[in-house]
Amino acid sequence: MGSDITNQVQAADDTPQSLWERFRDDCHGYMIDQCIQCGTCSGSCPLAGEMDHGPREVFSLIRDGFFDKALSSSTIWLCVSCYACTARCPREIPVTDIIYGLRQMAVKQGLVSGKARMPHLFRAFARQARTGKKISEARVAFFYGLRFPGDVLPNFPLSLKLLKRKRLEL
Amino acid sequence: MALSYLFFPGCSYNTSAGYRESTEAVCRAVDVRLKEIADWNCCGASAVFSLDREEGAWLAARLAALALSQGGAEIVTGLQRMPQRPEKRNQNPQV
Repeated sequence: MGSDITNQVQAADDTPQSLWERFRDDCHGYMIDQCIQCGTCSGSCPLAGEMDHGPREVFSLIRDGFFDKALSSSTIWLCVSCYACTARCPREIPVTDIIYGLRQMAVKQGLVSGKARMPHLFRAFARQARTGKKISEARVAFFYGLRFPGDVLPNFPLSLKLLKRKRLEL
Repeated sequence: MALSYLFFPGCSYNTSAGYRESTEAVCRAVDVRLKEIADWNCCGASAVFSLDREEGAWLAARLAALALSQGGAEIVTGLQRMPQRPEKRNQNPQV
């Protein structure tokens, strides 16, 4: 009970500005200041077309004081960690690592994009990882499928083929 | 004498196409013996680390502790993601 109240007080104090300041100091956020808005990150991103803002725009949002919009963007949840942006950034900004930091803060602040499905998949995965054993892909798919059956059921024939070729463990 | 290392196979060792086959073939060819870390856990991949930085670090820390208690400061793994976890923890003094 006590901790609930503390969390609420803390949430009330969190403004986009205070969140940004914490992010800048704790999660390499200060490196965003080096960005020259060249767009190499967005141009390199295989998922940029699906995002509501490309990585370059996210950096721009943050610098213009819309840190909360960056946290609730679908962008951060579509990143597949290919590191193309990080490898190509002429200012050597660790773009992918910054995306990870944004994800962690979005979860903590309850600002996860309603459009994003990856957090649900990640939660199904984390639920398994927390057991301290190895992950079963089938169980991850099952728990994710409880929420998004339309994403999982069409893959059922594929999973049978994978099972047959010993590429899936139950 | 063959070199011997502690090995972290990871959750996809048996199911990823060719991962087990190629790891075993390479180790045979270069005469390296791999001893699986007993009681290993999932590294969390990018999923756990995306949701909670501390939890991602715990998974890596448990693996490191297991390896040390089983007599190896060096771990061999074929996973792409896993080695980055302890590295990411080191980047941030808070965790």
